[in-house]
Amino acid sequence: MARYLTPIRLGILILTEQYLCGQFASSGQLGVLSFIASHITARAGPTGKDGQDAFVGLDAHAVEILGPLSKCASDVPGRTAYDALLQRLWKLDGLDAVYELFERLGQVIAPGSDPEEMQKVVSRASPLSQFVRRCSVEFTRLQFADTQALWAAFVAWRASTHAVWAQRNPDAAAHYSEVASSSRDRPTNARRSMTEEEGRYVSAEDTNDLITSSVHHLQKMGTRVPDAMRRKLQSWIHEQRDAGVQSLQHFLAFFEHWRSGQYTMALESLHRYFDYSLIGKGTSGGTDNMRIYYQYALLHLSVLHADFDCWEESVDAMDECIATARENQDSACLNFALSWLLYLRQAKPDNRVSAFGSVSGLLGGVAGEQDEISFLKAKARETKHWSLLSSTLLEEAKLDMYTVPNMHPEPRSEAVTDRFQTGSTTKSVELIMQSAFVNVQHNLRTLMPATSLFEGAAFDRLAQSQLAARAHDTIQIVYGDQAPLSDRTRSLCRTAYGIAQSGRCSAGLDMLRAYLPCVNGVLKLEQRVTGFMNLLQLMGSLRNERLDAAAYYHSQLLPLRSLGDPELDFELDLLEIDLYVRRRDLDTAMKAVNTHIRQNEGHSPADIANRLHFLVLKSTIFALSGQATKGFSIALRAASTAARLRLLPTLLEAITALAIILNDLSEFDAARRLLDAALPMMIETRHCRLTARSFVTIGEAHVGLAGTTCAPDSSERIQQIRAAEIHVERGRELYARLDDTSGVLDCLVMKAQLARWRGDEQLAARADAQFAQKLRDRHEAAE
Amino acid sequence: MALSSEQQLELQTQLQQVVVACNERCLYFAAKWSAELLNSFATSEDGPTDDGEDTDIDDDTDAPPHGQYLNDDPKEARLEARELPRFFLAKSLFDCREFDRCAAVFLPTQVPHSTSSPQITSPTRVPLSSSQLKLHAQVSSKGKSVFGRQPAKPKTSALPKNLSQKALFLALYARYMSGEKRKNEDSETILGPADGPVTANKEIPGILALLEEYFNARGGLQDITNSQGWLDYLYGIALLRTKSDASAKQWLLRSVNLQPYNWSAWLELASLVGSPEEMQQFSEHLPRNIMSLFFHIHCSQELFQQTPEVFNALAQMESIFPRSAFLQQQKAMLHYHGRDHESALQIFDTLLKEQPHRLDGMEIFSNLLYVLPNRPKLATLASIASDVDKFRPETNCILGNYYSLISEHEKAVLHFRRALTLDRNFQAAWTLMGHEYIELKNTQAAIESYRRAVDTNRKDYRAWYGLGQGYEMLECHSYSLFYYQRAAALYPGDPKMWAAVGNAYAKCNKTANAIQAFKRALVVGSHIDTSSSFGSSGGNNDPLAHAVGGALDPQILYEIACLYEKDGAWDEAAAYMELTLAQEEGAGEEGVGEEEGLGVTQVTCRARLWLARFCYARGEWARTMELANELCQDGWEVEEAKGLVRDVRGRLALAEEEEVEG
Repeated sequence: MARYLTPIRLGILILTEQYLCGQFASSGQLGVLSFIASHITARAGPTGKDGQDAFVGLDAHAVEILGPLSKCASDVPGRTAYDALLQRLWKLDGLDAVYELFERLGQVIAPGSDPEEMQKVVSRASPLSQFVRRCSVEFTRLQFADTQALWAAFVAWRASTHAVWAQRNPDAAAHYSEVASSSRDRPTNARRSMTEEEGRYVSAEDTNDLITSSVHHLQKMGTRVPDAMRRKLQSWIHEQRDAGVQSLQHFLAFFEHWRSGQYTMALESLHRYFDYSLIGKGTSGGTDNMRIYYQYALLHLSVLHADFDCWEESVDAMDECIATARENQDSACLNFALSWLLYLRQAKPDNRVSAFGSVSGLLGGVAGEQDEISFLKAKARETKHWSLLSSTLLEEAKLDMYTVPNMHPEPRSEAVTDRFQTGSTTKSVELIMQSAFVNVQHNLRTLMPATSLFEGAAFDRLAQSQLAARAHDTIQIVYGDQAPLSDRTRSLCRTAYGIAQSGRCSAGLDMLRAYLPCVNGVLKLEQRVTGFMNLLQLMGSLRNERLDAAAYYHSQLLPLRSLGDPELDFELDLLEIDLYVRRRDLDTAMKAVNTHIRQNEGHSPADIANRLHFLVLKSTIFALSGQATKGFSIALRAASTAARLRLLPTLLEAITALAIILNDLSEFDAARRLLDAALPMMIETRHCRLTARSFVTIGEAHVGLAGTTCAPDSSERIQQIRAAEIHVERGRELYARLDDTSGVLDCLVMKAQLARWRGDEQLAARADAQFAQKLRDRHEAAE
Repeated sequence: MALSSEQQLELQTQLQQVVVACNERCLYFAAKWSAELLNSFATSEDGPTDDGEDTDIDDDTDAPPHGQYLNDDPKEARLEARELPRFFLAKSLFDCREFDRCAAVFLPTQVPHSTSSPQITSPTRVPLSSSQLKLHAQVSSKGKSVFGRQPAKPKTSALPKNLSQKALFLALYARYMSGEKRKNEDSETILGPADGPVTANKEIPGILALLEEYFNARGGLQDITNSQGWLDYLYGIALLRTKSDASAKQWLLRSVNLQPYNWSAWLELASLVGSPEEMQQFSEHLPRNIMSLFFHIHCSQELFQQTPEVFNALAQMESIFPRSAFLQQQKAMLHYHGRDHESALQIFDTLLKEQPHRLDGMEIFSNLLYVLPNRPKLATLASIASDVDKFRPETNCILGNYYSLISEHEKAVLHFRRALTLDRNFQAAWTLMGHEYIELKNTQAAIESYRRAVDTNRKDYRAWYGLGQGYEMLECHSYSLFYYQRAAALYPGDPKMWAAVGNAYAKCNKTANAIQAFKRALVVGSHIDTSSSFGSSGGNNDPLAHAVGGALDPQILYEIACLYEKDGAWDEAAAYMELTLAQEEGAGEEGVGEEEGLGVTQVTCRARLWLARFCYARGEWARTMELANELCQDGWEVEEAKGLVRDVRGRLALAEEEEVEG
């Protein structure tokens, strides 16, 4: 197989020769030239979509590739450049014609810089000449058998144009078929034509480019190679004899296995890749080269280990990697390794990861993440490693979001209090913006989706769910295919979850279901998407009070805990507690909440929002068990902390819980005022259930007000009851939207009673009827 | 001479037997050749008799060939039966190319000697004198028989008594092959320091000694009663390798008489035939059978004899073996040597179409296509050959020829070298590589290549010619003359040879000889029928009336003229110059003449200029004017011609003036 020459390039060479002979009308020349140019210019780097496009048609038939030429005119009236080219294409009647072609092409290029000779021919430096010369050099270097193969491939390639050509040139076609039939009976020809069927002829260079770009793509996007493409690639690779390509092929396999979750195979492939690249490169460079590759090998190894939860090995590999990188003074690798270490520590917030805490130890500075981050930032600026800078900024933003002040009471109290005043969420938003700026400034496309993800999360924490949804949409719509698959999946899962929370559970499910094929067999992401689907199912069944189904989904979800995804874990915990609550199993629920709270206390980078949320839940459970007063202080503390940290969703939860408790304590007015103030924000969060509960609570508060403050039969009282009715009705509407049966039933009961109290029997009867209907529906659904 | 069906049947049986016998002795090439022949009887006759014959043949071939054919001698049969298991082992080992081990099966004591080659040379060479004393009285007078007495010293073990001829042959042949293998390995790179006669087959002395002893014990050359002919063949080639041609010839003749169907023996014999006369001598000692006819055809082809007798013989053989590719190939080669390119091309084409996997002799086809030249066809041939087998010397020769034709001489050399690495005795590749080295101006390498070619086959006139060319480039003219003479003697039908001889003579200042040679070239090269005494340069007016219009090579004519000029024979020179000029135009009347002239060429222009000057010197002003004007028209040496015209005009004007004045 040739390194560079392919049948397509042979075709372009023929076209070039025709162009140089002036066989095209002046009107068509520009088109022909641009066609040639589009095929001979080097590919514009394997970035993103453009890179992929360049490979489209690598193995296409002549008809598809040369088709555009039919728009250009040739110098013969009525014939297009396409016709002219075909004529020439089919004039090649044997291997010797190819040799002749290259002989002629050799004369086309100006031998020197003599201006007189330049008149006729192509100057040496022109792109056209570079192309021609490259092909010629390649051709002279080809072994005879390779030339033969090239010729056979060319014949197969042009075969698709036979119909068009034969139609225009019947005489020549007749002659051709005569010659062809006479040579067909040669056994060797038959043998070769059989092999032609199997695979198209692709040059080693193209294959190499393709694999390199695939590896880039895999590395960047975290996707897998589609099956059809992988098969094609495999067949091309098998035709190569080059060892250089071989090693890359193993790298490709490494990513493949990694994504598909085959840990041992991935390990094997990685080792194989580095073995083969050492063989390939070692001949020229010797041991020095080996060392340089070694640290990258370790880096990959560590990442692989970490991805498969082999933390010990990962840490070992990373330590050695850092040591090697320092020895070789490879700051890029070192910084990258350090940032990975930082990331790993946060990604795995449990005690086993203590070994990751050695970053600062390695750097020899004082312990503390802040120092590491500032060190990394400084390094990144110094070495102009913009992607590192951007990711470090994001890392810092994440830390700021998570910061749990009372976790570090002793040494850093000053800094902590300082941050209390500024508010961690705002700070992290600022950092995210900085990162976004760096991304835009330095065109860090792969990091943009990640930044958007962080932005969405930050807005979520500020209860700006609209803005958060925009951020997530940006990832889907603007970055689309160019975003790394994991970021896309993450944002999609969040969006779907948000939709489900705002009441459209099935829409979220559909969304996830539609997305599932895009994940394309990347095991982790697939697990994540299915996990979220189960989560939504669980949520839906809980609302419908289909507790058996809920228990089923819950059991389905339990293995996901081993995935180590904190986000998923948290949501699962919440739903789990909800399940217990709905089962009226308050003891278990309380136990679970207490366990979670205790767990959260143990680890440094745990999200404080989660902890607060659990606290609120605890107070809610107290309220449900009729011990509202017990939960009061907890709720209050959670509310105040959340307010301080600008964790608005948690704050709203806490406020609702507080209002319920206040209602219980007959502080109706306080509850009403509290909720009145919180409601606009609550509606904005689109957290439907919370809003519904608030409405109902306000209704209850109004009823309470009517009972305590107003005189009997006064218009005030009626007004209060009306207000209560309105609020309950709105709550019912929201519950209905959520499909939350028990909520709806509660509301209907309240509504009926309120109506009866007002003496509106008709309304009461309607509410009763609705209640009965709802109950019946529920039974039917259960059956 | 069509054969009767009994005769044919007998021939078939014999061929079948010989294929088996050759295979048993691992003479693969001969077996292939015979098998090919066996399958080239006319198919139409095979068809009807097939069914009836089948069983007969089976009965004949399976049991009897071993019995009848080989075991004429009951003693041999007994021996063979006894050593059958060992024979199978030896045969298998040979097939696996474990030659030393194979030899050791029957000749166990030879192991230490044959495993390491230095050991065998030192003991044989050093104690020559002492071993000579022990020579047996009956040692025949073979030239190099003193060689290798040493291994025979422990007589009983050197030549086990109770060995059948077949076993002995296989063992010795294995030794020979192992020696060849070592020789190939030791030769290292092609044209390297160790390549060539420096490295010899070191097993040969031992084999020679053993065989000599063996044959002496059995009555020497004359006693042919108890020999099957195979060992004789082996002895012959061993002798041939030690350059004792005369005795080799005797033993090979003995071999073909005893075992006429061993084509390898015939080929070796053919390599000993140096001239048609020798072949004549040979034929007296040859057995009268079909194989000697093949031999005759092959030798004639090698000696470039395109006589009707040869073609007759060929036609006869074709009537017996109508499907024989070998005969087709010989015929095509005869045509090719006879410069009948069209028919040769046709035969080769059909041959290729019928047997596309057969590469034997295809390098000649590629030579033909090179000469024609027919690039597309050569490319097709190359791709077919390369598809069949990339690592055959023939394939590489074809590829080399193709690359040479498209002027990629480095690649061509590469392929020829590859062909030689595959088979160092592939003579065509040596010659062709010489040609390429000439193209690359690497004269030393070219001469060496040609030398090797000539060493392998002394009948290759192209190699001789190439040697001459090489020396000419080195300006060693008398050497080149010698080689050109050899070439011309081998292939007198090619004017190029004679022209080269002429040139060389001219360079050596032997003008008369040079003119003779050139005239010979004219005769040979003329397209017209020159049965008349044309070369004797008698009256060159009338007989030469039709020698115009490109019938003769103007270059040679010009050369002759120049030589005459050098000799001071002005009239002769002028006549030849005129003749050169005459090649420009057609023979007949203008427009009617069926033969177009060559037109104006560089040579004719040079002749014209010479003539113009000559006429000028003789004062023939009108002719001078005419010639000079023609020169101006043709745009050749315009300045010179114009000068002449001016001069002549001036003189004419002067003459006129004088006339007027007078």
